[in-house]
Amino acid sequence: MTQKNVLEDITVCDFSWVGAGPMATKYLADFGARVIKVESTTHLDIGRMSVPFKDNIIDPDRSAFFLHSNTSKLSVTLNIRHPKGVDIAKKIIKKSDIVMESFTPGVITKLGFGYDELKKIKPDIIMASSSIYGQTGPKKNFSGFGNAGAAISGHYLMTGWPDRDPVTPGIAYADVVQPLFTVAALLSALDYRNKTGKGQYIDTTQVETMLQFISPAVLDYFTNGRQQTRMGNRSSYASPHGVFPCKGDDRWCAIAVFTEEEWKNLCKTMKEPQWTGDKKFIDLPSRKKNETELERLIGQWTINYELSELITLLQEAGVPSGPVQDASDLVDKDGQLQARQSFVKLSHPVIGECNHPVPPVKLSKSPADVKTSPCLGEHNEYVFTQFLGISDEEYVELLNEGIFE
Amino acid sequence: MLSNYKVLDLTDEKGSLCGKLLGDLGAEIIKVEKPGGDPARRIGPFVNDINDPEKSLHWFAFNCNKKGITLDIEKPEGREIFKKLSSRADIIIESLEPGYMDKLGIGYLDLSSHNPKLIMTSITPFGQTGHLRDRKISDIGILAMSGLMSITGDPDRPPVRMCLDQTYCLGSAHGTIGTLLAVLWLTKNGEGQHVDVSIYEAAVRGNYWEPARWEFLSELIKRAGNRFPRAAAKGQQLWQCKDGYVTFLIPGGTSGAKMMNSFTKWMEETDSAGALKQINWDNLHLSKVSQEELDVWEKLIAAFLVRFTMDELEQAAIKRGIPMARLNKLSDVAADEQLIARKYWEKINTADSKETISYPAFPFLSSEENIRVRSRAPLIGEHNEEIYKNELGFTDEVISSLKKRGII
Repeated sequence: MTQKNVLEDITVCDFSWVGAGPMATKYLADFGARVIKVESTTHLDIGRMSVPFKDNIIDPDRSAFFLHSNTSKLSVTLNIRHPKGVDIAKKIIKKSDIVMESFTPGVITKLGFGYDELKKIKPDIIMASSSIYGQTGPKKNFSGFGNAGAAISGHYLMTGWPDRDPVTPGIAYADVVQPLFTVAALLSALDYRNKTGKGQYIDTTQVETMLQFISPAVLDYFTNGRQQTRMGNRSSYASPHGVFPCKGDDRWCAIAVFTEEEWKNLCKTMKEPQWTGDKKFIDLPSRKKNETELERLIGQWTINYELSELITLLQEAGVPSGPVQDASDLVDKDGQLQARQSFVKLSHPVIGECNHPVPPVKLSKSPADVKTSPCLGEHNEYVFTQFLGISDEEYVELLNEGIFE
Repeated sequence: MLSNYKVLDLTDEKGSLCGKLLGDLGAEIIKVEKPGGDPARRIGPFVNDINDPEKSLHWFAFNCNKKGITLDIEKPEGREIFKKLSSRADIIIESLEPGYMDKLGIGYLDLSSHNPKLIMTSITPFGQTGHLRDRKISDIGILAMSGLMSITGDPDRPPVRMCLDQTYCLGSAHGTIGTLLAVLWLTKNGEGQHVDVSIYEAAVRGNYWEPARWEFLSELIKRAGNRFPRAAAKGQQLWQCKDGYVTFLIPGGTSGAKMMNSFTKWMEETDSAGALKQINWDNLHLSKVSQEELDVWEKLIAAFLVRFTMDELEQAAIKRGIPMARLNKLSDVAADEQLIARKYWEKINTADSKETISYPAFPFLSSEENIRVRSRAPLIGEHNEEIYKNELGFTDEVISSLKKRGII
């Protein structure tokens, strides 16, 4: 591509690890930023040791989990617990626009890279800290992983069936949500620096960002005193609203009816069996009241169809609907994702050719330019000698001293 | 931080968080609604449960920090007014059906020919291209397609969705990012562009683990309640305690070892560690632990945790550096001393100024700018006068004539 990338003159010194931090810097890297991931060979990023591994061989360069959250970055290994390692990290920071970290609050300052310290090295530096619960306040020492954000914000307790324990997807959802806010914060900080010449310190948390995604329920509590709780697949403003069984093993179709027109269309598609004319289902409040029965009746109709056949029928009738898919559908069969190149096949030095996830945002003039993810310390030589200008002799000396570990 | 940008926001519930976040960041957001109001105003919950387009808390939540005008862009005169507004705007965000604005002659190509610096961000279920772009779908359908529902829920029940309309929030937040990237490009190269966000792809990105698991291991994870499919053995991540639940997953890696040493020590203080005492966490690789082994450990942990309250567990976890969190109800969230200390709640007056409502105050903290919710969501057409009269210079007569003819 001859086109220039929007962030190509931006350098990021990235101390972040595991999920939420790396997914934020991945976004910047995919849009052209030079993201230098500062890693440790003795204190490996947990992401590098997360399944799945290529050929099931546990190895820091073989984790596809890591690959998916670290595309387009450079990796160096550096012992930042050694004074010489600290000096080198500071050299990287001096040439950086952004410093990113996601340690337990306080750790980065103890390591010698607190914001006040960084400002001395680079007065207009933009620094972002990503944590579960925040850098200030009485619970700032809280440490945790992805699902803590969903739990503390109330999201976890609101997901699942009303008569069962709450559930959460088999991912850490806050690791999906928080990075978006971190990226938005960093990009607006770059714009602010363009205008004012000033850097800044950014503090994003999983709890506070998750609350932004459930704020109608929060306002409901503050206004009406209502504690919204889990309601399965139902919605307060649509009915039917759920997934309904189709032919085959564990096949389901999502159907959501918001308007009376959509309800009529659904009834027509079902060929208007007698029950659809019943007063019990005449409008949204009635359908909400008799929802269990409604769901049972619709399920008795949907079970006669293959999933794809049912989707076609419902789409022709203008009823909002979609199939419950699994990962094999996404990777192998989804023509929409393929047409829009949502995954691109790229070659990784150890893993070989495989899918790399692309940001879901298409910019007509400055599109993402995704590259593969780095092996551990793959760019040591480039970053330390070429980018920082450390002489070959000194590089070897530092190498022998174990500074690049 | 974005105080010099003017944004026209034509989104419905699918994209309204995008403009709200840009508004939080300081941009001037003008929500452009149909005369009579955006249909998203019909989404509850409502203040005092009164079903009224001016009382939707859903609308309040995602449209604070915006001004509001009404305009019928389907009428030719309305379109001309929209063109005037867009020539003075930096950014337009919309979530209309793909091709709809083009058909009205106010698509990106039309508008950018007059205002080449214009940024237009479109947030739609499948994006502007591809064979599914016109599919009728809602949040639950998109979540279903993303693969996230197939891994959420109990094995003996249907797949279940996450609460509220998460995919719309994901699409909107990506919309904010796309818009900001376009702003940076504009600063650098002087040209605007079209930003095309697919809510579906945003949700698929949320499913960040399973596509790789399928590609590399040909393995499909089925929904398994609260068992986390991290390794061969699935770990428990929901635990009952005296007065509720906490979440905790036995952590791996070197930092996880430190945490588990601390956890075991805590259990040992009351002689509850049992078989956990024998484990050398420092040399343990979780991916090699069998389900049977893990089940034994987790039984001990369950019996231990159930003796405590959420408060007790939270305090112990913070003190001992254990990654454990309580499952809060909204009343717990509202009373949380951490959020209060960080001034996370901001009281905003209702339109009649009789009451205040507490809002989540900020998306993140910045050392430079006080990024906060500043104003409630607009009433229908609340800023018509300000925008049409003061900004576009329409006379009172013109405005009242436009009103009469249902254009504004």
